[in-house]
Amino acid sequence: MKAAELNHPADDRLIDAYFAKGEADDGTAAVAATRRHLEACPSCARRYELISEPLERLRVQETGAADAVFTSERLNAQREHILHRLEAAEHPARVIPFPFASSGRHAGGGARIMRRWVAAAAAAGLLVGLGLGRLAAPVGPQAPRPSLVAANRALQTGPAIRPVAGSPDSTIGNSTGDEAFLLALDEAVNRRVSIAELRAIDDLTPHAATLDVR
Amino acid sequence: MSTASEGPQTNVTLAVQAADGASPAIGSRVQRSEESRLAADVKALAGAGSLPEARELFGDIVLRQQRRASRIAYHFLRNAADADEAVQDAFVKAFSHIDSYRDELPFEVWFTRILINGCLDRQKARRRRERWISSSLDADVAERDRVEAASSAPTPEDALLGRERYRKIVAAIDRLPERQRTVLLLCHHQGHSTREVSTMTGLNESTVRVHLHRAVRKLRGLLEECRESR
Repeated sequence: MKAAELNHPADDRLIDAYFAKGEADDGTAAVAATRRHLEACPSCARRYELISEPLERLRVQETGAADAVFTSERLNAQREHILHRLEAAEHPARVIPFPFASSGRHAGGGARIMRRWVAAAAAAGLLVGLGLGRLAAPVGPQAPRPSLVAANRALQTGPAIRPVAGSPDSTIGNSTGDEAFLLALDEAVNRRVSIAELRAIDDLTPHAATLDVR
Repeated sequence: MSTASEGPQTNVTLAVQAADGASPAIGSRVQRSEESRLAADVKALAGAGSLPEARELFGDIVLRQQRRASRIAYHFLRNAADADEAVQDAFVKAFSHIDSYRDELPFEVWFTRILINGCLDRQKARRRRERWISSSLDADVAERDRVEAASSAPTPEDALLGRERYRKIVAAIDRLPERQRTVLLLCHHQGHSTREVSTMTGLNESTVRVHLHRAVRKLRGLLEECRESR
């Protein structure tokens, strides 16, 4: 016996030897060496038996347990089921629509989609309308429209502010022009417009002074 | 050149294995070779549109493979009804995907892979169900199957003790991590080589061996106890 074969193989080598027993080429060289060792070493042969015998017994038990459940009758029935399923797969079942739902489900498929689009468009229009409405007419204190109208009219009808020739105003640039414009605006707003039909509306709407107080 | 010849070489090895020896495992390899031929014919017929003929030929494959498939599914699921369904599903799936079967691969290996994936999916579904719904019904069915199987053990003299020991070992196998359990069931219970299991599971062959060692080491205590008390 070679010196290497005198080294007792580890349990994993014995397990490898057990599971390689069915292989035609006797597994790897390591398995072959283990087998040679087992033939020459009674103690390792005993160890191998301790591993292989219960495993073999377990295999027989497990096979017997499965075969006891899957009897020949059961296997025949199983085969019938398989062939029936294969045949059924070739001819898939036709789906017959429920009578009441058939018209709505098939013919009305496009109409249902159209209704959804209309509903979505209506909802979108409503939202856009609300948004624009809020922008155009902000909620809360409103601008004194009649006063502005009156001011505009006053600007058009009232005496024009003309700088006196030679006065410093004539030489002032745009900034003083804006100031003058605002001054004229103030005067126009504060001046009572003597138009009877506008006065009633003016009384109903809030004035700038009132807004300032609030 | 060498890369191209690797695949066929593996098949040649398997074919040689199929033609060799007389052990049950090797006998099944001879059968597998015949099934591979049948599967190639089924594929050709289905491809040509002759589905009834293909189906009929596939029935022969079912006849040859269903016992082995049922054992595998039962060992995985430990429930006869679930195993039955898993086997049916696997055969139906194999037939409907026969066009993707590669002729050079043993049909048994290809089919076992489909079956194992189905069993693992069912196991996961069962665990989810057990997490939320009472598992008493499933447990009852499994227990009934188990007792039924154990009661029909070949040696009636050790009926009571043997049944208890067997139940312990089965419970221990069921508690193994998924990969260890899969490898053990295929290598040990079904007698497949680590190379075949590597192809079936997609794991590296050395990884298969490691899982196998770990599984056996975990079970050894129980197995020895079983042996001593015999």
